Amino acid sequence: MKRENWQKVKQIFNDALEIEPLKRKAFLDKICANDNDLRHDVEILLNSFEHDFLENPAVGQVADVIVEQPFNFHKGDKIGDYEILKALGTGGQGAVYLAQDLQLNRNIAIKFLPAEASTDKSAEKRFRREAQAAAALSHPNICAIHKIEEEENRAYLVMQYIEGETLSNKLKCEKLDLKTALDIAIQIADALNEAHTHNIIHRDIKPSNIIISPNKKVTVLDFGLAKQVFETTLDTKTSLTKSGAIMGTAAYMSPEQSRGKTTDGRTDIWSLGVCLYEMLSGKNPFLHESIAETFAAILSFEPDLKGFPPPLAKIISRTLQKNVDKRYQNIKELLSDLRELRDELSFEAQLQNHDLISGKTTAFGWKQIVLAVAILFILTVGGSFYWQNHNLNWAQENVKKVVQLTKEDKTFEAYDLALQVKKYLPNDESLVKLMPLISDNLTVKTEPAGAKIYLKRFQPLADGKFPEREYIGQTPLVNLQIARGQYLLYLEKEGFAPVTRSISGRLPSYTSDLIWMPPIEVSAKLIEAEKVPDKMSFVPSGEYHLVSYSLPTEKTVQLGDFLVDRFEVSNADFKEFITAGGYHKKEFWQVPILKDGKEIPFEKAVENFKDRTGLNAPRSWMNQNFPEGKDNFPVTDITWYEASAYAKFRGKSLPTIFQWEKSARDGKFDEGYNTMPWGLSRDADSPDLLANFGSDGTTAVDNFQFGMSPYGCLNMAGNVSEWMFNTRGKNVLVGGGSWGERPYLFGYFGDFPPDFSSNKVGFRLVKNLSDKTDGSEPMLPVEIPEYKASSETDFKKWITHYVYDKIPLDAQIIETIETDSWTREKVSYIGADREKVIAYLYLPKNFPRPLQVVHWIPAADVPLGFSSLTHSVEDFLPPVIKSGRAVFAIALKGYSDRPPKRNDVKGVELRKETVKDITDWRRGIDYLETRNDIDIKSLGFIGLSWGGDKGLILTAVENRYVSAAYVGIGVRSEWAKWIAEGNIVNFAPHTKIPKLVVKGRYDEAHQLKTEAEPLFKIMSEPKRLTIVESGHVPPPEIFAPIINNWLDETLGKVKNP
Amino acid sequence: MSDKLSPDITQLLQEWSDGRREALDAIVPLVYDELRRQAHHYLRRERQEHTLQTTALVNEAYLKLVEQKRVVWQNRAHFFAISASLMRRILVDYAKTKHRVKRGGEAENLPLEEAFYVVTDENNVDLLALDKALNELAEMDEQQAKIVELRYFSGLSIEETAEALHISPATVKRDWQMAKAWLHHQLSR
Repeated sequence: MKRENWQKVKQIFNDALEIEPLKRKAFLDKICANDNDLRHDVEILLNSFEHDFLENPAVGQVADVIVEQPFNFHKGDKIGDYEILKALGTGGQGAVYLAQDLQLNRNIAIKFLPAEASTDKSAEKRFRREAQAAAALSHPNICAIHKIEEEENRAYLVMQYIEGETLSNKLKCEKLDLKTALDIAIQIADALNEAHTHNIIHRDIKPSNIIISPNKKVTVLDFGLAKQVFETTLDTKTSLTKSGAIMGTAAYMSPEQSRGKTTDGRTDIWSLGVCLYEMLSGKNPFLHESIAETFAAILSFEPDLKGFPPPLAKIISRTLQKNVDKRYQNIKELLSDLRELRDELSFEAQLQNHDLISGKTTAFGWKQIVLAVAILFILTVGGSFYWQNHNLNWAQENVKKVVQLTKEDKTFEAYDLALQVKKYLPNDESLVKLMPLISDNLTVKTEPAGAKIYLKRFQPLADGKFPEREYIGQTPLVNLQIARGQYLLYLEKEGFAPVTRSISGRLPSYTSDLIWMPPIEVSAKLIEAEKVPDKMSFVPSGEYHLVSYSLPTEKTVQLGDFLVDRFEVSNADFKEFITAGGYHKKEFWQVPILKDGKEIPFEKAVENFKDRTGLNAPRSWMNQNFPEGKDNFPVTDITWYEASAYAKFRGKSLPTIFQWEKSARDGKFDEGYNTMPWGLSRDADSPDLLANFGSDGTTAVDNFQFGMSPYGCLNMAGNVSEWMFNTRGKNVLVGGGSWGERPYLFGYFGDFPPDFSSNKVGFRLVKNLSDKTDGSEPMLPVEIPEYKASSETDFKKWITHYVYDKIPLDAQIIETIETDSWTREKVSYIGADREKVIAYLYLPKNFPRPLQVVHWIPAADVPLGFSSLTHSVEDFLPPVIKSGRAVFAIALKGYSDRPPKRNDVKGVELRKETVKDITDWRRGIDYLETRNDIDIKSLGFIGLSWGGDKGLILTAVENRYVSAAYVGIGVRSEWAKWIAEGNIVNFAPHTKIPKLVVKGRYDEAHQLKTEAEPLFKIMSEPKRLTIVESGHVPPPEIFAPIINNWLDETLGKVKNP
Repeated sequence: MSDKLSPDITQLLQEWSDGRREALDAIVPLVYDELRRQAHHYLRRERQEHTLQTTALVNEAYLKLVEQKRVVWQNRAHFFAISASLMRRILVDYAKTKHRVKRGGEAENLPLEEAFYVVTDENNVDLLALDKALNELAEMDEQQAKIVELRYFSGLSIEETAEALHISPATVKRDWQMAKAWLHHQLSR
């Protein structure tokens, strides 16, 4: 083809392509006229044209090659934040590279898992788990694991890079003298001791895993890796004969290990014994040509120990006992024997040297004296220099660990380690910078001074208990540095009532969003012991106004000094009231008792306050006795009237809502966050350890000591909801949330009829120390708002914001978990903003496919980080799954770690956030559509609380749902003022499918009358409101049958398996 | 590709377009990463649904690389241009490796069925020959060669190719058709 014809050819060729093939000839006849060259060129191209040619991008052709060799890294390659410097070697345990950490500018080693292990998901999980455990080890003789990272689904470790020679190399060149061998063995044992203390077994102690630095420091490599590697290598039978790696390992295996039996720390003791033997004799006692022979030797051959000095032979012999029970039973024993031997040897050496100097000077002459002094110097000064140097290295290495722990928010650990490191590096710059992040200055003052101060850390030990409290000084105490974290602080002074406070210097941080907290300052007024009854706290007078979410009033009231019960009233306490004839003494029953609006005499009223045997007592009791063993559990199943009578009996009263809230949170509240009695709650905190929520029932009133309120009260959040003094309308206020609720309920007050009783409601009391205290008046009922249904035209306008592109889902099943009743698939797909979304699909077993499916959106406890998404599904929906329906739940980006917005989101931000959430959910429905085991035509929606609120927008925008159930929903009237396109009130009228609203009659988070019914009113038909006898979240026994019936009705009954 | 990318690619692209060659060196590993990722995706998809959406992937890669807010068309085009020629180079290198693997070792003694399979497998494009032909095409029509790089080696759509080269989609389409025909002819000779 001629270059000058090119443009012309192109023109004609393309034009010809537009024409039907049959008519092309005529076209060419006409256009090429007599130019045969031109025509020839065009015809060649037309004949060669194939539409599909080159349409599939090239990457597909070589994809397999690319994927097969992704891990041949070369100098200059970058993996994550690391740049490869050189390969250090490959072996049975995968490739190892020397690399530079570009962020921290230091050399590190990168180690990849062997390929076969990374394709095996369970092996990889094990690898990660063990590596994570090993990463927590910090010891001068243990190679530090900085991080566990992932590159293209292959996990790798980022480790400390240690310069030096492996012990196996060293042994190739020389036999070691006794002192050196002992030094090395001691350091290995020291490392093992640290690991075993943390329940980490090495399982692959061998000379090639020991590095000796030029300064003689020993570092043990590969903690936590061996188990997994052995298992994978031993599993694949072929490699047993082939692999050189396993060959090198076999000779150090213990008998139990070579038999494939379970192993414990004693296997490391054996392996260390083999190493010690080899260091001194120059050969491995069991090594043979083949693995089989080697194993045979391990199991039957008794190594010859004659050549060793007797004390050492004894030690080695005890390490190499084939019967594990005859071996050293723990590494500590071995370590101390080794140390003792070393000390003896050096003592002997010194003695001998001493002899040289004193006794035999004349015989040896001057030169020998200098030599002897030099030896002494090496043994003493030089030795300490060596140790100092060793410690310095350890300290430098651990500065990074402190940084890491700080990042992980493990401030107690970081602080403790920092103090250790500081001994050797008092002026280290990064440490100096870190200290303010991991420590606080505590100032404690009391009036009068001289109280003893104790601190107890909120740092659960392995057994679930907490550390003992520690004495730190006397008041006044100014700026004492302590580790940052949560504590209980105890103040004790003879003659005064003890005071306990929960203190925290934590900066609760959500990503970069920091909330400033003042330095910890405690100042307490000590009250004479006789003035504060046992189990009560003193609360000083002052102004107070309510701060929780649901505000019964905005008024500020003046409170007088009062005492508050530190614990809820227990069964045993209440029993005393019964024993004292409380139910029959008119003087205790001062509150008028109403029945249908009319006052009735107390004698008549108490006829209804009976236990299961018909005697006057809480409803759940029998024979006026509480259930056995529950003395110290809160009394429940009592009406407000009984609580009031009990208060009178004790000479106390029920707390006003102001007194209660002041005792519970002392005005601390941060919109958007969950402020709990102990402070701001964060993802990292475990509410399980701080309060009783979402459990099976009540717990002892003095449980959850760290969940203490600012005035030392326990269980103000959770355990039981508590009766207040104040009424609202015909009802009485309750607060605090109960064991059956979610933690955020602590921020809400609800109300119940005064003759209501429940196993979730109890109370505590206060004692007023002053006549002047306000706030006991009835609260005004909240006004019932009226909403107008928005127009179809407006709705059409709003939903334009919710249009999204159907880009490829790129869906993958990441994990599959089987239980007896269902298969849980964890899937990912590309959601809004092209971000990966995680979702869970629960598929019931034994039911015919395709399955009906329910999309579940959880309550706010999931986005707030209190509970995981799967937890919420498995809490509420097993009855749905077990009756044969699939359940689908989508974790929004971050979800449990997504920060709630610090400032209340109401405007454009709200719209953006809502559109994003809704799109992520709808993309999930797109995903369900791709599955042939799911019947997308039978898609139901269930949303709980926050999830139901959001669901009102979702089901209006998305038309693939067949029915929708909203549980515990509601809007506060001020929400109606938020931006139109993200406003629940606007969308609620536009869902056309059958709708069910399930509401607790006593919902304290969203009041039925004021927050749910007005919303229900504007929803379009068909709709149904089912009111249940519960609080915000109906318990499963109420929730499950209603939901299952609803699904049967709207999606159709499920076919039996 | 890890989420955190320390080098600011926008900056690099700018530097590169300002004539600083070293900036390119910083970009190459990113392209390598991207290719590796695409290959993984390809294989995974091939098993699952037989479709490949490289375009989406490249877009995604770019969006990941550059902070979304700062996408400037100029830079985006540069990115595609760079990655296309780099990808071509890399993919051809890989093809050479694959070639060697096939020629060496067991390839000669393939059982009949497998030998047959290998032949049909060859309805895949011979990347080495294509590379050569593409060089020839560049001498005739540089723009067409560029389009092939972007479409075939980088997996861009017609529209994106147009964007990257600042020409109209119609022009891309016509050039692309011509180039395909021409290359096909060269390769089947």
